[in-house]
Amino acid sequence: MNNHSVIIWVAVTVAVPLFLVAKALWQLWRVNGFRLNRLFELGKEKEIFYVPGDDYFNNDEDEYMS
Amino acid sequence: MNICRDGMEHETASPTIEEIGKFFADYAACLLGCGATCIRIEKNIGRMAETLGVEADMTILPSHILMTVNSKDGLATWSTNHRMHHTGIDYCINTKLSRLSWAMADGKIGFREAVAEAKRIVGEQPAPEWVVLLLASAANTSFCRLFGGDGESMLLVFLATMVGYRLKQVMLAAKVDVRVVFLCSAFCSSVISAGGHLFGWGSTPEVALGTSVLYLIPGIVYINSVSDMLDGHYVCAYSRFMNAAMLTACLSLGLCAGILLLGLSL
Repeated sequence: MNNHSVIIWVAVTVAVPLFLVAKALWQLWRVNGFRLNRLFELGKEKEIFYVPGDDYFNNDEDEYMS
Repeated sequence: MNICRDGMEHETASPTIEEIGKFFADYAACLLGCGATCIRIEKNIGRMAETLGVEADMTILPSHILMTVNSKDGLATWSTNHRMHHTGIDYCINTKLSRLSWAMADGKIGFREAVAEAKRIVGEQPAPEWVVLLLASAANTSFCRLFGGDGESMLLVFLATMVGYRLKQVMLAAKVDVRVVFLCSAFCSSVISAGGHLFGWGSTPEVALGTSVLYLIPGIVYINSVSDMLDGHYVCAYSRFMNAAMLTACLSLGLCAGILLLGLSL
């Protein structure tokens, strides 16, 4: 068992699957990236639930929260 | 069913020679592209031509179909040259298109329905890539077992096939030349499966190394080549054989490169 053989084996066995996984993840991000971004915005309730002209945010806060 | 091109009014449902010729050429090109033998193409076209009351003569070349359709009375003729559809070998499409020709011969569907159905069949989504990947890996692992491989060798072959086949899918999707794809896939698979030799995994490392590249062997192309030769289609037979031999040579180069680079002594 030579050292260079082990190095080549490790390089191919690690690099090629990593490349394939990275490519698959990148394609997933490219197709679904917009939706993933929206997932991160769920905490910003004001932006999601606010509708221009809607009176909820102008009403009494107790009435809105009930 | 009357088929003429004399400018007289006909039933709107009757196809013209031109429509029949175009359909036959497209149909034959699809069949050729998805791995059908020449005799199958000839029989299917002949069956449909007889049903439609025309005579169809074709020349099947490795990448083209020369189709000539004549009316039985000899008054009308249509010739066309159609390029083969490079869709990849798909016996599902092959079977469905053949079944379509039988449905037309049995009178179950008319010409226009057959045209629409053929378009639908060819436009169908192929099997999911991940399913094919898993099944090909499992099949190659079975080959390893058939040749006497032990559990460790089977696991190595499964991993090597999975990586090599996925690499093949990615490179083919990127329109890389198929010979380079075979070379790279064979190299990766052989290097990964050589782990048995390098680290002493399992008792049958040579079986793992030998069977790790079997998924790349173009078996269907070889079989089709023999079938075409037996039916007298020597041009197609020779073309298919050379294509398969080229792919086998690239596969062997990849395997040898992996063995030499790792310094294995077999």
